[in-house]
Amino acid sequence: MVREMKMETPRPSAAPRRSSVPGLRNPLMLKAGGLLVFLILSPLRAQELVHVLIDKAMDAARTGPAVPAADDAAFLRRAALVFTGMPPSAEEARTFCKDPAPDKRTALVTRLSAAPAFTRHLAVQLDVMLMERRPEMHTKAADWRLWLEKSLEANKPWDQIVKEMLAADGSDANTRAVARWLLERQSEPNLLTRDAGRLFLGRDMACAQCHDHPRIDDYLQRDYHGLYAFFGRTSLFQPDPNKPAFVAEQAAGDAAFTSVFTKVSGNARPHLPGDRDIEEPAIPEDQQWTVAPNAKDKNVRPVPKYSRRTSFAGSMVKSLAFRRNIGNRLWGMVMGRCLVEPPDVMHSGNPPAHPAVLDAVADGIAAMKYDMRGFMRELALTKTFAQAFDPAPLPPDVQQSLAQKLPSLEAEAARLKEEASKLAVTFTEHTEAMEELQRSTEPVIAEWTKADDASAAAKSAHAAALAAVQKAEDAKKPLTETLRTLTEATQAAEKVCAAAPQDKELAAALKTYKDKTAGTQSSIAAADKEIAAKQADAKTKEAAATAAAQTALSKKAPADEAKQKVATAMQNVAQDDKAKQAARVAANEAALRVKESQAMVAYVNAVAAATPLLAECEKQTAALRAAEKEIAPQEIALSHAKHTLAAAEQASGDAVAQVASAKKAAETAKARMEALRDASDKTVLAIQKVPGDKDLEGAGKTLQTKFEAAAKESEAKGKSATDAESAASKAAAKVTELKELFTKAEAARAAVEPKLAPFKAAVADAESKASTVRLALADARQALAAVQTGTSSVAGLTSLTPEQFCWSVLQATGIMDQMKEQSAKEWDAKNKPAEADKTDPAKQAARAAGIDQLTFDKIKPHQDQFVRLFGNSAGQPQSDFFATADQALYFENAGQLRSWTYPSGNNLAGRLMKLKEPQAIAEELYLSTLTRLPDAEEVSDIARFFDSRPPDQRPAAASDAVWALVTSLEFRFRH
Amino acid sequence: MKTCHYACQTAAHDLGRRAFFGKMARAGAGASLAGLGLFATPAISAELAKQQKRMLVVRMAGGLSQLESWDPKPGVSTGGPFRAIPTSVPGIQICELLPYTAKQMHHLALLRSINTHEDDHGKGHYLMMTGRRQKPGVTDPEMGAVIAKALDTADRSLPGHIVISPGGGGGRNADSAYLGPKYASVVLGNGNPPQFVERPGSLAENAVLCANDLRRKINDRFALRRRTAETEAYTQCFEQAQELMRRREVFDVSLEAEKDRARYGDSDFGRHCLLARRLIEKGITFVQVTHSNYDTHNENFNFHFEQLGDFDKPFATLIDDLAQRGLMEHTLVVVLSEFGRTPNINHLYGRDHWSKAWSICLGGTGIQKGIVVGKTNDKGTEVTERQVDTGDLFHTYLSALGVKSDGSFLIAGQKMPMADPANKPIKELLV
Repeated sequence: MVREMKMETPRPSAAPRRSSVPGLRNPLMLKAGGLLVFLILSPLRAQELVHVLIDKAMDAARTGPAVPAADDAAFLRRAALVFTGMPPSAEEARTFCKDPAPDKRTALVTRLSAAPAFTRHLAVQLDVMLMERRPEMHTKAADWRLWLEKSLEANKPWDQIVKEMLAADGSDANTRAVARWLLERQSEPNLLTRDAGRLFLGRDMACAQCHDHPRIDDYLQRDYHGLYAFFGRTSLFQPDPNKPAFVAEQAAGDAAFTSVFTKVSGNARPHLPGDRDIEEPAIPEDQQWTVAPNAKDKNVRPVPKYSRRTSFAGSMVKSLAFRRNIGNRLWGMVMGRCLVEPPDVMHSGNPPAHPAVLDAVADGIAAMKYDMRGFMRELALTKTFAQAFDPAPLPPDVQQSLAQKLPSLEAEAARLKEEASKLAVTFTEHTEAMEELQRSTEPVIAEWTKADDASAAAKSAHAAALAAVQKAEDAKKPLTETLRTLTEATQAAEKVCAAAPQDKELAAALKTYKDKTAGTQSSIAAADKEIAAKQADAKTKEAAATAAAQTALSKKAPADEAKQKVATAMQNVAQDDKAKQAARVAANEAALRVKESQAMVAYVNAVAAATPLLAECEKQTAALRAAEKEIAPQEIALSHAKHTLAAAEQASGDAVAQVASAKKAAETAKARMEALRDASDKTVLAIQKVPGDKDLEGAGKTLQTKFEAAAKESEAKGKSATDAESAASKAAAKVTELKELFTKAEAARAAVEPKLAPFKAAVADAESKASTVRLALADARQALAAVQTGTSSVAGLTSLTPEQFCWSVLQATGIMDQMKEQSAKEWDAKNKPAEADKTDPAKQAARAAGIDQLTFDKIKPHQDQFVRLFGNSAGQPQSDFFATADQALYFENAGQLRSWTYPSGNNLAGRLMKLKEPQAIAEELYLSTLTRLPDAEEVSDIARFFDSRPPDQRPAAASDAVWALVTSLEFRFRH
Repeated sequence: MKTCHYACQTAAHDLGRRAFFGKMARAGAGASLAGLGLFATPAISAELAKQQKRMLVVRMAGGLSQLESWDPKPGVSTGGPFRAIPTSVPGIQICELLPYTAKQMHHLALLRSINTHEDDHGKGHYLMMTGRRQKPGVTDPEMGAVIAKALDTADRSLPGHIVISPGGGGGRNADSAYLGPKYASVVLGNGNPPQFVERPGSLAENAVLCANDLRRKINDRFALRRRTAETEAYTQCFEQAQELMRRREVFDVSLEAEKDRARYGDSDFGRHCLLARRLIEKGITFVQVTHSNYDTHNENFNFHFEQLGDFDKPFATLIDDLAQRGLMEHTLVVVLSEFGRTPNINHLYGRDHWSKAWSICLGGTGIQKGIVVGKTNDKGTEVTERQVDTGDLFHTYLSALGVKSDGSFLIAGQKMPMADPANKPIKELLV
């Protein structure tokens, strides 16, 4: 904890607000904060308070008045999308809105966050975030997702998930999918480095691979390689391309790098960005391996005892960057927009709008031990989650106070900006000074290094000399032994010779002994000489070593001093860097505050300027609407005439096409008939000429039969063609008739147009007067929304993910329910539950899970289609929004999609068909798709939409209305 | 545009839309709306469409042999059995397997000195299509996406990047990397129109237009509450889709004259070339046609005889047509492979992968006509003059199309060079 504190960014300007988010940060602060704080934040209670702490941080950071809370329906939709990935049904919406319980929102969030649907949804989101839709080269995506689901079901904390994922090597078939993160990146160290930085630490350092990041001065090359050092030993192990690949790791290897810009080199040991090198165990070279590599057998996968990759996971999960990253990303999943966007480009030049809020979030998830489910529940209980989508209504007095405060805010922002740039200058100066110091101290250090090297060399020379002495002495030892034995043998021989003086052989033996003894004695003398020489040499070398050691010692102090100076300078520069970063973050916050205040003031002014003119527009429009009602019969008659005519034209076109194909069929049949007749006639002639030929007679009969059948066929086809022709001419006549009716309807409509003309003119007049202020108001509103979305002070607009979009379409159209019903039938048919099972909670849960699985199996192909259309390509960031024509073409023309919106059973369009009242139709439609009731204008639009279609086109009208709602912006984006 | 008589004509709705567009125009997005064909007059559009630069790539998948095509070496041990024939440009000879193309040489240029140091199909394809060597952890956009984005004008309603794939399939390719799906290629599987561009017969056009009007009205109302670049893009993609449906005849090669279809021949490649002509003529920025397959490790000569026999006439017809219609002035045409084939003839009468000294053929806008750049030695085993690499080619394409090849795209605030900054255009090829 103490070390982590040092990593934190000091924020002088944020200090006063810090008291509002006291110390989940660390126990020391709790003590400092006094007993009261300690009691409030005792671990048992901490969990409940995370959302309160975030609210406090947010309130303290807020610039203007808070946006009011969203209404129940909007809240329900938001919560349902966050937790289940789809909107609620119309029925759920009605029930929730009617519920009088004061704590119903908390209850809702609690229920949804505990539901299995959330497990699936969160697993999908984590999968997409971690894998970015990579293909299945080594592992099965379904197994991996299942592992995520099981992990989430068991509430496995995020840090644990990450650790398991990074430790996996794929060697165990049962847990192979866990290695998907590593394997599908081909275990390529640079890719792992980039993605670990992005996904776990919130920093995409890819650009710092070859040099310090050109634009982001917090991202340094040495930090990239510090991160790389964790992965540099990892590689994909697949000696046989036909067998599964595994993750392998070496036991040695560092990350050497050279900047392509400055040519400065380094050799990075593993460290987290901006942090010190991690402590690593010193393992003797011969004990490095659990499974050592085998030069003779390439199928042996080396496994080191100490894994840098695993050690990365261990160090990383304790870092501030780790908790900020996951806090920021989960905030994004719940709120629709991360506090820092994009989430993988966190640095002091792209800070959170409110640093204190990110701190509260990061501390919150750490305090909750990375329980994602619990943490997201907390986020959904914050006031920020509940705030409305529309900007706050700002009464004039607020505007006044904002305007008054503006100058002091501006002054503060200017001051902080100045301070930040001063600190930046200081940092640069100190960095340069440090580099200068490095250069100037280089000789002293080099001298010491040289002397030290020389001393070490002299010392080892001395040691070698001593070893040589020892060796010589060792060589002498057997000689001494031999001499002793020879002396004894000589004495014995002398005795024997004395006893038998005449024996020549004995005398010869004695001589041999004596000669040998003399020889050995001279060898010993030589050895002694050698030893003496070696000893002398050792003495010289000892003196030299002592002298060298003394020299080295004399150089050590200045070198140590120099090193110390450089180290201190480096530390100071690191401090300066942190101070610079903190000042930059604070300056950004102050600048945003000014921007937000200005936007609010501008918005209030725009509202004031526009209100009277817009009221006039509304008045005139209402008058026009009333007038339109009077001519509604003519309008509707015209529209019916037009739709009926269009349908008839289409039918007529079809009939014409039918004629062509019928005629063609008739011609073919006729030609066949004629050919057969011809053949038959000729055969008859042949029989006449060759009477009695059995073969010819047989052929004649066959041909006659065939001809008769063909004649019948030809007649039938001919009739079909005639029928088709008459149908076509009837259809054409109908078109002519309907055209006349249409012309009449048009004339009737034109005749009543003058009734509308004055109203239209009045509307146009009012609109033209209001046009400038209307645009100004829209501008001011959008500008305010843009600023406030950035500061999390108003609900943002976020596109649904491909999966959410697919599920939402199925849910809103009522197809999801039909699939569920179908799945229930299938499950029951297969499992035949007994009556008693229906009251057994465990069996019911199993049934629910089974049905759920069957339902999502049915959804899978559609979900894949949505992913193909709305998802980015594999390996690219999946959160980037894009809209392409093929997406719209799918909605326009895909038969599948159109079948969902068409009335069938109890699907949405089917339900609309059963309703008569326009109000009821519009309500069911809006509640089912947008989870809100339509306003009066929308009801009237829907009524008019249905009225405009002739009664026989009502199913198509219902389908089109559902289609228009699910293709709308309000459906595509959550808000 | 046909209008639905009812829901679309109320005054409030009209005014709302007008205000909406007015605002868009001021916000600088007006230009992109003009692209939906709402404002631009047909005459102006036609004129603009004619001036606009385009690129057509014919990809000889598998690795075309330079010796049996653009750089023949008859009579030497590596030369193979085929002769070299004169072309419409005195002094330039190509392999006798390309008699029709030889007659178009005055529109084309040859580059005979490519050394890409990459003999793997996948990696070779990557570097020829992206102009860069594949680096771990990085995916670069293919040239179709780069060109489509670099030449994108706001008044574009048709996709800028189309790949006619020899097989089936459809949808959108993943070839635009960080340039985003907008510039990813739309696939015309075996020359069929894009997916979902046809209305199902069950839908009445009139009713569909009404439904779209209701959708617009719901959107206009929502846009009063909040409008962002994303909401604009989403509403706009429906307008693009409508425009695409209105112009779906662009993709329908059967609408070409019977006579033309006969000239291009009754083969897939012939039809694809004719479709390519149609697409280029209709103003698609980048079109890619693939001819497959040239990976002739055995029976190189028989295969090239057959394949180039299939290729020659349709390709030559395409060049002739583009030239006659004045489209060569605006269109860059490139015939490329992932690499060439070995001068050495193996024991199966095949030639293997070879990136050390090979050729491409190119022509059209920005490229000098009827010239040869670069040279290989007598046996074709080494480049002896003006050696170039893939990055140089990429710079050359961009320069020929009038794009500053040292320019960058700004992606999420970061400058991404269009072409590898280590390389330069091949000046000798450029006009």
